[in-house]
Amino acid sequence: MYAYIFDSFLQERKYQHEVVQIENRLATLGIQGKSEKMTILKNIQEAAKQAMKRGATTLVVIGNDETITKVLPHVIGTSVTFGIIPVGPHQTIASILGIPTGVSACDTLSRRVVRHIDLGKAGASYFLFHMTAPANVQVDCGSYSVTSLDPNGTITIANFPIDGQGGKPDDGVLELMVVPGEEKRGWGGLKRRPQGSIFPVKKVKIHATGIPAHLTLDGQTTVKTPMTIEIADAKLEVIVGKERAF
Amino acid sequence: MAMFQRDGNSDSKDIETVIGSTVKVEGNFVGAGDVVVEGHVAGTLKTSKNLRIGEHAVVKADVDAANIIIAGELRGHVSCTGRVEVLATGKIYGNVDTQTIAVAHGAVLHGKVSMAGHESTPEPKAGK
Repeated sequence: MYAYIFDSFLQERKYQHEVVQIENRLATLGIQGKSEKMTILKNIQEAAKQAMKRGATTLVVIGNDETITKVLPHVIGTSVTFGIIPVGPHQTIASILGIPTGVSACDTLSRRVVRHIDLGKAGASYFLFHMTAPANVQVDCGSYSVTSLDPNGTITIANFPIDGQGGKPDDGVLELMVVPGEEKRGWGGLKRRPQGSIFPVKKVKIHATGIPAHLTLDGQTTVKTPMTIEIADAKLEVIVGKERAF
Repeated sequence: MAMFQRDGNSDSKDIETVIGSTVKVEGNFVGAGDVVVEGHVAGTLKTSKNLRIGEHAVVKADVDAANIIIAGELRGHVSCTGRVEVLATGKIYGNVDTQTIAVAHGAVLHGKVSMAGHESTPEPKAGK
């Protein structure tokens, strides 16, 4: 059973025609289901939980990256298949998954190519895309440790490629990336970013010296150090398109 | 600008680990794919594939790889099942065990080089 959740920003007049087109196309393809349209008074996370409680086996969100990252933590760890129909700006996730924007995404949903995607686990919390940490933490990778020498850098543990670098989200490993901050060089103060680092990892422990550091999961949830980050046994079933980046 | 740009000479498709210039790795690193080092490594470094030590890298470790290119500084024992290439900017302070070796003009090599399969045989004694 399909369930559709439309983000509240789609109530804006400029999206209304596209929303109607999507609803019509879903009906034509025979994959219509219970639709719920969010307003500023309705909580999208609650709507997702309710849809799954009612027995939805495929949960589709209509919106952008923000919509997806709000709903995703509630889908992770369930047996529900996740789908997206990208509408509006900020569609990085859809582009990685190869889902075309707008009404064309309905056809991709209908073809229903499902992939099992790895998940990262930080303590009891899961993440799909990445975990970010400040550069002042130390990453213990078992037999060796990694430390950033650049205080302005960031440390990311990614499940998906970043800037075209890193592994695939279904390869059974995560990528530890140490991204240096930009440095100014020369008379004109031209900014230059030194080379970053990549380590394929399955399990790491992150420590901070002194005050515990905050680690952000998928830009939404925050956890504190010390924290063990690992590839989770659970996987996410997600509908993907032909143009996916993996 | 890509954050993880690589040297034009390397085949970036096969590189699995990059130790950038702003990173320090300590301990026993074991990689399964190609490894590029541009930063600092202390301990041991082992991979079943290729290892490239960049011009500004400082490696104080015993290294073991299939093929090794050294453009930076390496202090430690070098074990290689294939070819070791020391570029003009490369410096090795340690013994080298390898099949073949190429040392560019200007490179520094302080240590004993042993080449497997090319051991010297004792000369036959005169009159026998």
